[in-house]
Amino acid sequence: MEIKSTDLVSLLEKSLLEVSTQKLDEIGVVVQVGDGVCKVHGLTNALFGELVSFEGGNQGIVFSLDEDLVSVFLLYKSIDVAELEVAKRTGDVFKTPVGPAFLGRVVNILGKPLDGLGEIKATEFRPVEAPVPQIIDRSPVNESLETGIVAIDALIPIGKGQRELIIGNRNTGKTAIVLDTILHQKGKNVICVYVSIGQRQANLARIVRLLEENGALSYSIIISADASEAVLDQYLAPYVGCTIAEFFRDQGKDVLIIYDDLSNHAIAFREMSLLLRRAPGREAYPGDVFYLHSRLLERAGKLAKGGSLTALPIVQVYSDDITAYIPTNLISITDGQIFLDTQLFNNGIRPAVNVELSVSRVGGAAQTKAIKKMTRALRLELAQYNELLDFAQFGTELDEVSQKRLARGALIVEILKQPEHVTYSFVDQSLMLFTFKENFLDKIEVRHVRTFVTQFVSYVKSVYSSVYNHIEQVADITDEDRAQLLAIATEFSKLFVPVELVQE
Amino acid sequence: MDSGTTIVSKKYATAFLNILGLRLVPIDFEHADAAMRYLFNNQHALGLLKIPGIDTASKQKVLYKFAEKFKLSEPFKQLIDLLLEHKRAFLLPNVLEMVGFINQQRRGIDHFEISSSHPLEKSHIVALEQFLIKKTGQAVHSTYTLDKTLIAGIRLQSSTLLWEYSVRKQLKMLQPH
Repeated sequence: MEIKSTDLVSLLEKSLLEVSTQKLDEIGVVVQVGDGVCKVHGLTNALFGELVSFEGGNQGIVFSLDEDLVSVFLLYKSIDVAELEVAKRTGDVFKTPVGPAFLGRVVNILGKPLDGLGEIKATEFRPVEAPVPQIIDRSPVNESLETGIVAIDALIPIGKGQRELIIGNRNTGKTAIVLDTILHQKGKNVICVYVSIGQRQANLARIVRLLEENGALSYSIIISADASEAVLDQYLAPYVGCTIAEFFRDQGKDVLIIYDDLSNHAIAFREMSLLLRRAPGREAYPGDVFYLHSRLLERAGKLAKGGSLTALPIVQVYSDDITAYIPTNLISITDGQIFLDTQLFNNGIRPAVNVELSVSRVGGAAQTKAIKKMTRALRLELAQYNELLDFAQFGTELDEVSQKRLARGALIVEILKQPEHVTYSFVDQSLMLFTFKENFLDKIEVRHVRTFVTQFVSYVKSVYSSVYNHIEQVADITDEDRAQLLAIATEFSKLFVPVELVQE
Repeated sequence: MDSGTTIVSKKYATAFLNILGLRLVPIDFEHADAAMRYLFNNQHALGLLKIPGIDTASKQKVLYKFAEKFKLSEPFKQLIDLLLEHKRAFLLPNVLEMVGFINQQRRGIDHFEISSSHPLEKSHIVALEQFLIKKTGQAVHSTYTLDKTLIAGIRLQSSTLLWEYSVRKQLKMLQPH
C-alpha cells in the first residue's frame, strides 16, 4: 500500500495536537544496562512497579528503588537501550490487553499473537497486579469441576474456585493431567487459560496442536513465556494469564487457569532478585518468594455474584522430595495437592496419582452425589491395600480377609488406571465405581477389569439410556437407580465375555 | 559512566559541599563547571591519572597546574588531594559535575539544556526560561544548542525533567513495537 505524503502530514498534525503542551516529564538517565535490567539515575519520584518508557522506544518496570538509582527490568528484547538514554516516568503500571477475542489464541505477555492468526482486538487493558477478591465477595466452593480423570474426581475432587497443586518429578504426567482436564471441559462452558512458563517451544507447539485437534482451543487461551524469553516475561506470564482469566470470571463465567509450572516462575524471580543484588535466602530465593505465589493464587476463588477462577498450579520436584522450599510453600498456599509418583508411573499405573500423599481440602463439599456415594470407603480400601501390599512383598502368608482386601485393592487400582486423553463424565465414573462397590468385579480377572467396566458403561448408555440420563439429570444414584443398576449389572455379567475367550 | 561511578562521585561531592561549601563563592562553581567541561571533552587528559606507574606526586603536580589554569579555588585543591589519596583522581570530572548539580539543587536552581531544530532568538530563550520557571517553581539556568535531529521543534531537558515538542518525538511515538 502506498502512503501519500499528505496522509503522513495529517497523521503527524493529529499526533502533535494530542500532545500535552503543559506537562513536564519526570526523567532519569540510564547509567548501566545489561542482563535485561538497567540502572537509571534520576526518576526520583518513581514508584515500585511503575512502567518506565525509554526514548529509544523500549519500556520497563521499576523493581528496585535505591537512594540514587532505580533498577528497571526491560520489556522488549529487540529494542536496545543505550547508556545515557533518557527514561521517562509514565505514571502508570504494566497493563495487559484482555477481551473475548483472546479465546482460541496463543499470545505472549504483551498480548501479541504467536499463532500467526493476525492481530487481536482487546476490549480493555487491565493492570496485571490486581487486588484479590475480598472475603465478602467470595462464596464457598460447592460446585464440582470435573477433570474427567477417575482417580482425581473420585478421590481428590476439585471444586470450582479451588486451588489444587499438581506436584511431581519430571516425566510423571503433570502436564498430561491438566491437558486432559482442559479437553474434558468441552461443552461445559468453562474457559481454560494455560500459562506456559519457561517451557520449550516444541512442547508448547505439541500442546497447541493437541488442543486444536481435539476442538479444545476454541475455549482456551495460551499465554507463553518460553525458556528463550527474557526473565521478566517469565515472571509476568502467570499474572498476565490470571488477569485475562479474571476478565472472563468478572463476566460470570467459570474459568480454569493452569500455571505450568511455578518452579520455573520461582527460578525466574530468583534470577531477577540476584540481578538486583537482593539478599539471597534459602536455596538462594529472596525472602518474598512466598508472597510471589500467595498473591497470585489468592486471586483464585468463587465469587458470590457468579463466576469462578479455579487454579491448577504445577510444581516440579526432584527425587520425589516434596519438602523442598518452593513445593512446601505452594502446598501451604493451595487447597490441596495431587502428588504424582515416579514409582507408580514406572509400574504402569497412570495417571500416577499417589492417593496417600494427595488431598483436596475443599473439593469433597463440591463432589457430585453420585460419585460421593460410590467412593465412601474407597480411600480406606486403597490405604489398606497399599499397607498389605508391603507385607505381601515379604512373602508373608496372609489370612483370607487380607487376601480378599488385596484382591479388591488390585481391582480398584485397575479401575483408576486411565489412558491419556481419554476422559469420563461423572455418570461414567459413577457406573465404573458402582461395579466395584457392588462386588461385580470380584469374579473378573484383573487384566479384564478395564474392559468390563468400560463395556458396562457403554451397555448402560446404549441399552438403558433412561437410567443413564436420569443419573446425569439428578447428579445422583437414587435407590431406584441402584436397584435398576443392580439388575443391569447382573444381566451384563452374564453377557460379558473377555476378549481372549472370544478369540479362543 | 556506570552506576558505581555516579554513586561514588555523588558521595564525594556531597561531602565536599558539606565541609567546604561555605568557603565557595558563585564564581568558583563557574570555574569548576568550565574545568569539568574541559575534562569531559578531553578524556585523554585523564589517561595518565589512571596509570599506576606514575607516582602520586607527579599526578598532584599536573592537577595543581590544571587547577591554576582553570582558577579553581583552594577547597578544590583539597578535593584533588583527597581523590589522589584515595587513588580516585580519575573521578575528578564526575565529582565536579556532581558538585555543580548538588549546588544548584541546594540553591533551588534548575539547569536546563534548551535545544531546537532551528536557531532561536534571545527573546525566545527568555520566554522558554519563563515557562520553565512557572512550571518548576525554581530559578532556571539554561544553555542553548542547535539540534537538527529534532526535525522541527524544541526540547527542554534538565537532569530530572523533560519537555519536548518535536516531530522526532511524534515519529517515535508512531513507531510500532
